[in-house]
Amino acid sequence: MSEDMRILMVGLSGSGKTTYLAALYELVRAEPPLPGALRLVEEPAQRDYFHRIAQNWLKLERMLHTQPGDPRTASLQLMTADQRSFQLDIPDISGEDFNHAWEGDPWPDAVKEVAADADAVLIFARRDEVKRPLFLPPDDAEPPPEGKEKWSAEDAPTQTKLADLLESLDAMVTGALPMALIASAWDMGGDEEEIRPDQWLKLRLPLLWQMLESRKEARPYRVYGVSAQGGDVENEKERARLAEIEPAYLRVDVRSGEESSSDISAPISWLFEQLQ
Amino acid sequence: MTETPEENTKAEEQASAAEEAAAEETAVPESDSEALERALKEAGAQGAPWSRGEALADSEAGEIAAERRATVVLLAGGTGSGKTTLLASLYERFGRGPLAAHLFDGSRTLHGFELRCHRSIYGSGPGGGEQGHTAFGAMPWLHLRLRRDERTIELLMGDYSGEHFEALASGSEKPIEFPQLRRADHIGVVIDGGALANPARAMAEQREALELVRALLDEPEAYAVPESITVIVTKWDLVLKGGERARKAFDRALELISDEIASRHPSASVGYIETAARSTSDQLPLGHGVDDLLLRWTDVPVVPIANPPEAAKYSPVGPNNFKAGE
Repeated sequence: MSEDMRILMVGLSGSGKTTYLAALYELVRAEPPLPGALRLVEEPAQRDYFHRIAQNWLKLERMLHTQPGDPRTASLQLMTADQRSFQLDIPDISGEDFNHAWEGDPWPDAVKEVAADADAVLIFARRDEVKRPLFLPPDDAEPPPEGKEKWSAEDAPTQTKLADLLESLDAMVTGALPMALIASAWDMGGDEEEIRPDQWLKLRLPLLWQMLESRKEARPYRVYGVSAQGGDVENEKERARLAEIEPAYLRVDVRSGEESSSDISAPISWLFEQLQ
Repeated sequence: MTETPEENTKAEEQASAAEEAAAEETAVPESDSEALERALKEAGAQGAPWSRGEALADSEAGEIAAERRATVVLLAGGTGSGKTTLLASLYERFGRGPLAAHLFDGSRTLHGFELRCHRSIYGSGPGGGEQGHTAFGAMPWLHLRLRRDERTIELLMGDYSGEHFEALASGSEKPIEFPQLRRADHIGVVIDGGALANPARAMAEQREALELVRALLDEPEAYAVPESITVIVTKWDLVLKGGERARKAFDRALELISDEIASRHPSASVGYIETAARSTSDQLPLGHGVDDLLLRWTDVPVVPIANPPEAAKYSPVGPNNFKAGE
């Protein structure tokens, strides 16, 4: 039996959506396959696009943001490990659309239509690019440095932007959709101590965590820490190390709870199971 | 189909007339909640168009209130009394994590909250108007959706310019001309603790708060129930720093208001909540009292910790169930 599942990919501009898709494409068609991972049933109609981004990924190049000519909907015919096949449609709301909406523009009609048909949501947030919220200081605190008097929507905290995105989605979608939050660039935690992805969400994006937690009965969610490149590709040593790893999908590190694997299709498998 | 504002107004008038006729025909008295929804809708008919900017217009707030039974809160106090900072502080606390067992579940006014926090820190004040105060005519409603246990709470908080309430206190405006008051589940009469701590301003602040309460009580049809009125004292850190004199000034203000309410509604009592959103005192944390305020607004018993037992007129019971003081 073949089913359709439309997953909405959303996140701030540069939050790792394209890198995720590239690594996913490489995994689902890899030989030998990764046990338990999703498999590609047939090559997609947008093969040239997938090929291009997969090439970038294989070459360990930093992924370019979604380009104007890129398809707005990517489709993959996939199969679970137990032979259930489904069509995965990934309509991408570009980071630019999202930025404009947060900064005050209305959502484009095309985005609203795409969102209305969605079955599940993948939300992306980069672990190493979290802009922290403003905390109100004591009234007699030292005056802040000059030059920041003008408020800019662009400079708002990451958690506020994502909370606004979720609020907008709730208005656009019908019903409560399962959500997987991808904390991308998981390997770029810097000095942050070892932490589970769900703990990271609660600690670093508490406003978003509360929103997801408050409706988890109706709208189940799971948090994944995903290192889609496997390391810092700007670092020559690291790049050389990653280039040695074969098959290439083993570079990938996906964390959920206490578990760790190279299966970047795991969030999609989980969403698929939620819809069964 | 697009309707012009005139057509909208006409349609609303017709609908309103039809509702009135139907009400008369069936002789079923309008319930409190229906009356309150209508009051907000009436206010909304004159509202500004929707904006995702600083706040919601009356009409937008009316939509939320009509869709789900929202809890409507109005902070009533003079210019600079700290109303906006209090609301910014409430949002800021949720930005750190759950507050008083409530989870943040969304907001239609995230821009507005962010802007107010930013202005509090980097600007001349959270309101963005002259000297950082909320400008007269600015869109007033801030929105929070919260989750506590199995309950979703839509909280609409009116952040009106202090000039409105100064006009009510002075008598130049009538409460009945301010229909949002009637829709409010909670009217927080805001007393500026900084003014109470300043001997040159204390009496004027007491008088202003009293006149505001008096203006409200003079028009019982202008508000829902006397129990909806709570006294909120801001900048409590400054009252603490002001010592006995400041504390007495506050006690006197509360006494005046309590007596005024008791004289009209003997069974009612006034509760008060002390707050210090941007506390300058080591004895009080930043955001002091904001959790009590939230509990008061969301129908959960107020934790009496912030209010010493000697404040006999305050009854730390269910927020909508304030009992007689003595």
